[in-house]
Amino acid sequence: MPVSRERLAFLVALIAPVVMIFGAPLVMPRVEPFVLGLPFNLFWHLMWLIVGPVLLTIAYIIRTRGE
Amino acid sequence: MEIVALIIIFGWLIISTIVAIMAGILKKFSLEEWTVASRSLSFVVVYFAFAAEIYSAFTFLGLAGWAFTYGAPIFYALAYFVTAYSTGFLVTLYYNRLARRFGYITQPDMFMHRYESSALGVLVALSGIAFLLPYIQLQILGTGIIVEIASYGALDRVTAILIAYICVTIFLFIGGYRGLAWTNVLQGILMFVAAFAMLSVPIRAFGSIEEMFRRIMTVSPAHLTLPGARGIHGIQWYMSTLALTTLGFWMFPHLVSRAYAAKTERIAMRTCAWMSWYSLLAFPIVLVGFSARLLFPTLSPADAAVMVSAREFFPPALVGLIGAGGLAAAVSTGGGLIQATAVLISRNLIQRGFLRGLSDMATAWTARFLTIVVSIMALYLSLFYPALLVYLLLVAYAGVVQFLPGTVFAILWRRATKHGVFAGIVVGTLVVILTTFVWPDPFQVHSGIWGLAANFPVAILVSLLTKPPSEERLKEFFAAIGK
Repeated sequence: MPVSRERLAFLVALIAPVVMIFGAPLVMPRVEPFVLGLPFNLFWHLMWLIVGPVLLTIAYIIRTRGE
Repeated sequence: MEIVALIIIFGWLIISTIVAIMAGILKKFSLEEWTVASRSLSFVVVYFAFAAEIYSAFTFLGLAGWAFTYGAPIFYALAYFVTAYSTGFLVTLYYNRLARRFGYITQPDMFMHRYESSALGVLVALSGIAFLLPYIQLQILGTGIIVEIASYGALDRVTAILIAYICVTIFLFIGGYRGLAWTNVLQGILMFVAAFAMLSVPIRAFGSIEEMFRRIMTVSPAHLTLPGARGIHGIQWYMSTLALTTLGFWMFPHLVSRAYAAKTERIAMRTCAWMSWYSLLAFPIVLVGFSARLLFPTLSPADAAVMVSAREFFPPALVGLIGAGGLAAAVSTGGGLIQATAVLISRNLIQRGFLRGLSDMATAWTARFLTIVVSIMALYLSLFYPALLVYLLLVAYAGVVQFLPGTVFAILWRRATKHGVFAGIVVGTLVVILTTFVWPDPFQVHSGIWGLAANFPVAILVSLLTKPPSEERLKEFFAAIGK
């Protein structure tokens, strides 16, 4: 396996933790606007529960394709 | 009519016990079979076995309790139900690959082999056991709350706990990890269904979820942002706790062993990749905590929010289903922790500690009997000395995260030595204890982060001053991970 592909998968897998940890100061104070009936900060977390696995699936494909 | 709920709960418990026994009894008993199901589990089993073991009484009761008491700070849990699987995706494949190549069955096995030190193996095992114990207690106490409320008081807490954990001990003894994994497929599905059934509570009570949150905005706006209703969970707390749980999650000894049981490393990776979708079960539970704030403002204990809401809004049969779901969450995790603790003791304290030369078969039998001992001990401590374990729980997460430097260096840094990793764990754990009990969370930063801040430099410094493992060991280890 070429190193670059492993590294790319690694970076994609790190998107969620980096954005969620360092984006928190921007997102957590926001209650408005409500999205899907939820305060914005709660909607943000729900969104990541759904988007997170999509990113990891991409990382999985990058990492395992052509092996 | 209330008896219906009780029948459903215990009917479910009996079915789970039978499934676990059936799954395990057909296989030939051996150390590898009983501890890691002969490294043979397929994707579906691994996925639900992980889900059921990870999501516990805390998920089913505690999340709602936190939302009720503190509000928005509990969003950190929803966040780490995403981020912890990113780290899991990156490490579990190495766990699985190395375990397959070198026959590891526990987390300390890796430390012992990679750093050529049985003392380090014993240290990691001892520390792991100490920090798993309070989690077993949490599951036991959670089981009590769930069954007592779901049975409309017909069954008291202690009886409920005893019946549940006798079943667990029997099926662990016979079925081993394969039995647990298969019964956890059932538990995992039921937990998910029961959690989503709870979504109807806020909708029925307020017409819509938005309406519920609008009312919270007028009644208690502090519930919707940091630092939360009690004013103690600032943004530093959120960020450091999220960072800590993200890094620390895959340092828990029982979860490391679970990664060993997957048939291939790709199964372990895919399980992590898709686990956040299962984590959606936490979402309705959090909403129920918020709705309970409006519906039952004087509720006590707060952890009863889910069960009390169910009893208020659902007929007994459905309360039974929710109760069975909660019991499933508590028992699947409790059983896994008991089994993992028994294996750590028999493998790393006995076979590779003070009774070297014990055969694998004797070790496996020891682990089997230790499940009984560990269950009895945990029940005894939970019922008679609940306060004792509270202190351990406070440092548990921060404590296991001290295995991080040793784990990361194992894969990335050839120069790391047993002395370095050992010293790092000792100093890191001491700092955790100090920043928990003497100066609690300085600057609202989690004690585990302070522990790591001491652990990493100590591990690096001491490693550079001491002799690395033998060239042969490093060669075979890094050849196995493909570097």
